[in-house]
Amino acid sequence: MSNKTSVTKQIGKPALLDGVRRSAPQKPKSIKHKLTISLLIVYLLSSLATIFAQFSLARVEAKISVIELLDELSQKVLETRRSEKNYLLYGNAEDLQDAQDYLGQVQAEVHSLQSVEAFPVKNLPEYDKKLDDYADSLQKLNMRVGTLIPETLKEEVHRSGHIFTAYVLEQDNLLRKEITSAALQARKLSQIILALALLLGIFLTVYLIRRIVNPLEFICRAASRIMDGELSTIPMVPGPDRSREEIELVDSLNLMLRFLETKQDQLVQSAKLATIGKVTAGIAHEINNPLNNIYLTAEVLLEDLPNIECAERLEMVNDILKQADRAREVVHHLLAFSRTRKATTLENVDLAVLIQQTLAFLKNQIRIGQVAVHTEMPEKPVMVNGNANQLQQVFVNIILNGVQAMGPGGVLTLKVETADHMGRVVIRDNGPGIPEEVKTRIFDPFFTTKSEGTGLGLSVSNSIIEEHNGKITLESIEGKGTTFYIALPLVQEEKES
Amino acid sequence: MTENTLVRPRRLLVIDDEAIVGKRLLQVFGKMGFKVEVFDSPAPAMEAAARDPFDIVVTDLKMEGMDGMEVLTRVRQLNPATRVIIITGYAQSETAEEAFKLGVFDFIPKPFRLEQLKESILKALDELEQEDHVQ
Repeated sequence: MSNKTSVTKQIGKPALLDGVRRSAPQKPKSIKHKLTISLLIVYLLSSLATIFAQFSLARVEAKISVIELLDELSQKVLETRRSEKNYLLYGNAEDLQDAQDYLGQVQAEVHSLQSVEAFPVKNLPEYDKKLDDYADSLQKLNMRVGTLIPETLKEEVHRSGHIFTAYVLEQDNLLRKEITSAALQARKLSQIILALALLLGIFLTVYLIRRIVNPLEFICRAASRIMDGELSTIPMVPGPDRSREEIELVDSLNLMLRFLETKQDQLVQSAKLATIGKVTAGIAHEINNPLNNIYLTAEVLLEDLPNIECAERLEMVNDILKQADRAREVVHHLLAFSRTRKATTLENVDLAVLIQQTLAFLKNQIRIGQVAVHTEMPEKPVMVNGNANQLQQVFVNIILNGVQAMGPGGVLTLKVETADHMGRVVIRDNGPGIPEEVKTRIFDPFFTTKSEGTGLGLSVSNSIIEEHNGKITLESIEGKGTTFYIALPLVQEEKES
Repeated sequence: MTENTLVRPRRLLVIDDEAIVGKRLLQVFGKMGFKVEVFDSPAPAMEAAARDPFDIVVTDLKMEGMDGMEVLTRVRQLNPATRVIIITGYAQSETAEEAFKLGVFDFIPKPFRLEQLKESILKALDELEQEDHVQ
């Protein structure tokens, strides 16, 4: 409880929260900010992967078209060779012409293809030289059309043709290999990017959980601890993980808690006013009677003063004083009950004394209700730590309920005792009892079975006792009566001595 | 009106658990010539009334054991001529209405001035005297 007070005080200074924020090395990022950054990273990476994949695909496509071109070229080279062989075999000049045409086309195309990117012929001069050698030898053949071709020339043509063809096919082969490896590389690279994306995904998930979910869970845990009564405010989310929204959430939750606390105090106060309303009959009776006695005595004195004996006069004046004391006492009790002391004003309270005071306060209300009261008080004081004013409010409520439930002729039994290491007040009536369906809702706010009731009395009583770490329980047998048990933690022995 | 006007001493019963009320009314009305009997609880008062009916009864409303309404009913059963005056520290109009239905002579909320009660009692006395005349 004392712990609670200090926490409340801390929260009472909003500057402290600002201080926490200012002392942090940098302004906390917002969840929106964190999510935007994370998603932007993912977006950038996936765009990069897509662009890269597109690029690789385009490259492979380009190589495939080059392969097609090369295929065509190779076909033409082979065509040249076939025409050359035909000419050497059959001596048909058209064949030689064809061979030379084909070769010319090959030469022209190789040069025009040179501009195509990724064209694989790296060493064009060598290619040209081999092509030229072959073209030269074909030219030599052409010079000798119609004459006998010497074996040496035939051999030269054959050899240069062979070299060129072999070179072309080799280039072709090289290119295919290169393309295959490039495709393989592209695949590898995309696998790496995929792996990277997966890793990054895991990292981002962990990051988001740490930075967003953890603080939220922290707040949830704090909220449930508040419901258990361990805390009264939500502490600031620890560490650099906190986001701006989370700080704001904690701040507004704490603000709400303070607001609720005020509302609760107001509710307790309204319930108390309602209770005072219920005891007005008793109060009126209790003040009107001594007042009447004072009037009567004073008037009799006034009327017949010379004829009254001196001793009797004295007795009458004393009567007046006693009755004035009585009225003052009533007002004192009423004020003591209605006074609002801060809920956190705690003191050691003897339950037996408090019950006696409560009975004194309710004396006339009980008399008007024509109810008999039996008390069983312990020999030793039963000390609890609490707010006497609020505890009395609880007892007044339960006693008045009992008196009202029983009606004239009822018997109310009040017992103060120590049970299970708790101080306990037992309030038993022999009224009609509480039906089962009412019993479960009896502590609900605004639940009432009386037409003039507010339904606040027992619900506020319950929250006051819970606030004192105590417990209200009830037993009720229909037709026999109801017993309320109000258990409160005893003051530790050390504190008592 | 003085004590000489009383043809015979009238019997006045005062029931109030506030002892001072009884003491003072005894002082005042005794001097006026009434035969006053004072009780601070209703049960012995009813016994006394049963023995010899009273002319006028002044009773408190809220008392332990029996309330003023019951006193009223019983006294009127014993002697319908008895005038009953109820005095109470917590007067509610419903209770007053009920009391008048039951035949109360007067219903006086506390605190009252002595003059108020005197008037009421003397009025009751007048009625009683007139009834006696008629007879």
